[in-house]
Amino acid sequence: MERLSDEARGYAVIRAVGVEPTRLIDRCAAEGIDFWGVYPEDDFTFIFKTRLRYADAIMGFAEKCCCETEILERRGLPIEGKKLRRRQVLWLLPLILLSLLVASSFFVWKIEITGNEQVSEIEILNALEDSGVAIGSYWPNFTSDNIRSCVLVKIPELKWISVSVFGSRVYVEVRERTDIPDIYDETEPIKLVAVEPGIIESVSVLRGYSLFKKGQTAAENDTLVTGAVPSTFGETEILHAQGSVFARTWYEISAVMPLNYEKKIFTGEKKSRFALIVGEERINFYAKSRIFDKDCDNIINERRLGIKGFFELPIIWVKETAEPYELSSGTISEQEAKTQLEAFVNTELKTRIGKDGEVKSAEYSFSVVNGYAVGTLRAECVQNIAAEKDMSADEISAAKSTGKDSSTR
Amino acid sequence: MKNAARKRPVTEIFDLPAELIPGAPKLTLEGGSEVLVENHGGLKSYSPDCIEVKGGNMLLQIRGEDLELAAMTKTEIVIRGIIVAVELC
Repeated sequence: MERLSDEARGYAVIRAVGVEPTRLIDRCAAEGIDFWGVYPEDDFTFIFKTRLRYADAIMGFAEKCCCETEILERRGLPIEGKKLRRRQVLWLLPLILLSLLVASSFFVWKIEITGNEQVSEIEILNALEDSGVAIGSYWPNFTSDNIRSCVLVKIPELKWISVSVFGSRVYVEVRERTDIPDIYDETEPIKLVAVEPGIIESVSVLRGYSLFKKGQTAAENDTLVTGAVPSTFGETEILHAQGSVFARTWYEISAVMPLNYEKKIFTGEKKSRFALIVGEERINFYAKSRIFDKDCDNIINERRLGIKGFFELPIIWVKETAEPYELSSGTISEQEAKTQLEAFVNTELKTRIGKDGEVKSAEYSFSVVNGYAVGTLRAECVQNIAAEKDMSADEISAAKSTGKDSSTR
Repeated sequence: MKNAARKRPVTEIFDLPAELIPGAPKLTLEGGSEVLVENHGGLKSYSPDCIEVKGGNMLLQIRGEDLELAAMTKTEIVIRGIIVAVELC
């Protein structure tokens, strides 16, 4: 700490030579002059440090103390400052850089969007650009009301937006509108049909009239629950059928894959090229010939200059690395093919039976035919086979006429 | 012998504190690493092994290793280092 203070205030190193150099030390003490680091070089020579402002005074009375003095060096911030005062360019450059830094902080160099799930970032960025918020725009001109009204009009899926500016970064937070639940017309003529053939396990009807019972077999496209509900007292009522019909279904799913395939073998050679993106301008530091002509993987690394999380400059350093490869034939083992095909057919089965479906039993078989692996899954499942379908005009009129007949009788 | 020739101070005769004598040097030894000399009369010699300080009608000799002048004003001297002996001559 003392050393730091000495450096900040500046000091001079003095060599005193005489018969009794201690007399000079005594005199300094008597005059109230600060000195420290007294080091006897020999019996007649002392070296000590003192404040810059006392150096000349010491030189003045040294002769009276029968000493010859010499200032070995002057050090500290005041001395360094004097040296730098003459170098105006050295002062000018940091000032220019500082002013550029301050000026650039008034412009937007990065936009971060959070809270969007359905609406894409590009869509929001385009809307923001139309309202004046874009990379390189002057953020003190932003008015939140204008941005909000402009973006919300352009993207009706958004119900709320907030724009916050931190330095040169803009944080955009959005909230999307929640989906309105399906509202259907209760009188709409809709029936439930079987999407898969199967033996009915259970019928649960919320609206409509069930045409099947447990244990009966339904073929594909058979009407399970009709929207025409017959009435003993009046006309047949036409409505939107609702419900679920669970049935036992059987599946046989097959998948085929070749055992031979082509794979990449990297030659180990690598070539890189560099570019700098300043704002929207790209400066390439390469000639076209530097990149490989043959098959190669290109890896692009982009690094934005600045202090992460605090300040980012609109300058991106781009490194493109090309790694050439050669194609060579490879063979997949039968066991691996079996595992891959099994996983594939199981996923396919799950997709077909839906999230309510349940696999009761399954059997997987595997064979290799002419260099191709064949995986087959046979499964018995229980699933909801009911799906909504519009009733045809004929069906409606037939149902109504049947209803009239029964009521007149 | 100079020490033997030194007269008994008046304060001792009257059983008074020694501080009452004007200009009498006062030594304060703090452990074995620091000596404070008050009412000194200046330095006589200075080396890392021995520092001689004038004090009225006597000479204080501080012996040790790596001795250094930590601070010095018109009336006080602080000496730091490994102090082995303090002699009055």
